[in-house]
Amino acid sequence: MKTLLYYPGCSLKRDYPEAERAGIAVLEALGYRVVELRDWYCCGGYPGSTSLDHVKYVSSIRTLSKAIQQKRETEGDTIVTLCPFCYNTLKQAEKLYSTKPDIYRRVVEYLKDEVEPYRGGLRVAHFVEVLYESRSDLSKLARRRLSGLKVAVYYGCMLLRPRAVALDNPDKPVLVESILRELGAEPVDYPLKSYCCGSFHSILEPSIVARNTGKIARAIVDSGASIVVTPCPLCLSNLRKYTDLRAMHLSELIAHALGVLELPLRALQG
Amino acid sequence: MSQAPLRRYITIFFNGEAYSVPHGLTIMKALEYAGFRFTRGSGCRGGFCGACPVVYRLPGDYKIRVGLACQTPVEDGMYISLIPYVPLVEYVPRREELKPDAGYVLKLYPEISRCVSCNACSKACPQGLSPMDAIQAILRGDLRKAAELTFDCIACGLCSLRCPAEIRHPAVFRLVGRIVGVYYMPRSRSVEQRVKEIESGRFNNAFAKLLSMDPGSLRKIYDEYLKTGRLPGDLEV
Ligand code: SF4
Ligand code: SF4
Ligand code: FES
Repeated sequence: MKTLLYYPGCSLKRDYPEAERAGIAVLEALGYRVVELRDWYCCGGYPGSTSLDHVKYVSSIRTLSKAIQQKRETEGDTIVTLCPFCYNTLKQAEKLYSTKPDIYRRVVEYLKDEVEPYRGGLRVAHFVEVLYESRSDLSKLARRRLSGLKVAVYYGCMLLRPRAVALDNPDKPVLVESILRELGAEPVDYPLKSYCCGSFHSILEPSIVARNTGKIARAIVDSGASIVVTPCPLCLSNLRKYTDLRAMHLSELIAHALGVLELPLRALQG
Repeated sequence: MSQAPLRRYITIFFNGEAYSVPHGLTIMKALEYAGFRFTRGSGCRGGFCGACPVVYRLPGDYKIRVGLACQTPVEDGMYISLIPYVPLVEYVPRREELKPDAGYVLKLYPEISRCVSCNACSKACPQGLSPMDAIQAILRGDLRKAAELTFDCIACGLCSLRCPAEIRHPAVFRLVGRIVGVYYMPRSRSVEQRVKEIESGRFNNAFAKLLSMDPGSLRKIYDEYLKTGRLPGDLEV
């Protein structure tokens, strides 16, 4: 059985326990052993939205250094997370030694009396990637087909930008759609799949979030979708707060289809 | 043949002056040996009260180190600066106002969300705690974990002095500890019982008697109590 080292992230842990439960249940149904990292720290995505370029990598590199120890114990060489922000920050940190060696050296130097320097050896993956790699199993394992469900996938930014860590074409992503098709769903096409929802502006400039999610919501309604799924807890929070869309985390819809978790998904039964 | 051990003297620097003190003393005792009297910044002398934070540097080393004056032994060439107290602003909400919710803690102490995980706080903690992990636990909504990690915090404030995010750790930890005490810990029946007894007036006479006594008689009762474990009849309840 393959082990996945699981990195939860603060937002998901704090605000979306149901998405977390669903995600873990799905990974286990796919045959993975999911082991939560013993020591993990805020990925830095939040303070990292500021421009302190060095500091934002400190916590991610520390998390990677400590995860190496757990890799030795569990033989899990992949860190998986359900949050695109965490994915993005951890992935960039993981590549730091080749992409920004000067910053890498400073960060490692800063951390040297705490942890051994991170020298590679882990793969950082988002939940979506793991699903995509196991998509043929999904269709075999499905206990409730999503037949005919018109679903809009809203990607948000962090899985698709910058290109160095993008999981798909930022202008026309299809990854999640192809996963959902395995389960019988009918993903709709619409133009703003990766248009920024406004992200952390929800704290200081909520009007930006209201405007952006408004545009996204109109495009989704026009597409004829009855539900929207997103892989991002922050996008989810913004969509729920500022629009009337029926929105859920991707993990919840997949868990529902696999029948591994009973979720109050009334939206799907009508 | 045994020889009397030689008393070794070392030099420490305090407020810019050099003092020769015996090797092996704590910073607090060494400064007292040098003639200073602690009127602030000292309490239990046992590493428990957090009143005696100290900042020091060792010769040939650029690092600023921190510790407790009552616990840290002097070393030759040490430069010492005392911190009698750390003036943190603390909120002490009433019990009924407390909410078992990280959002509530963040509202009172919004600077928590600026934690950049530098870990400077944990490196400073003389109790060997990890204030960073506790702050991070609050950020992910886990107040119980935060309280558990900081149960041994003695509120010295050294972590806060080091924190680039200007987090008021001991104040935050005290709040979190109270919230967890109120909402998650089992209620203590014996305390409730005792409060009822106090309210019923059971101890009123004994207290009135104690309060009317002069210090000499109090001491006599106390010494007697230490010896026999018994109180005079009219103080028994
Ligand atoms: S957590 Fe901070 S205030 Fe508490 S003992 Fe450690 S350094 Fe002192
Ligand atoms: S010193 Fe402050 S910013 Fe640094 S880890 Fe501790 S709480 Fe966070
Ligand atoms: S005097 Fe109490 S900890 Fe030092």
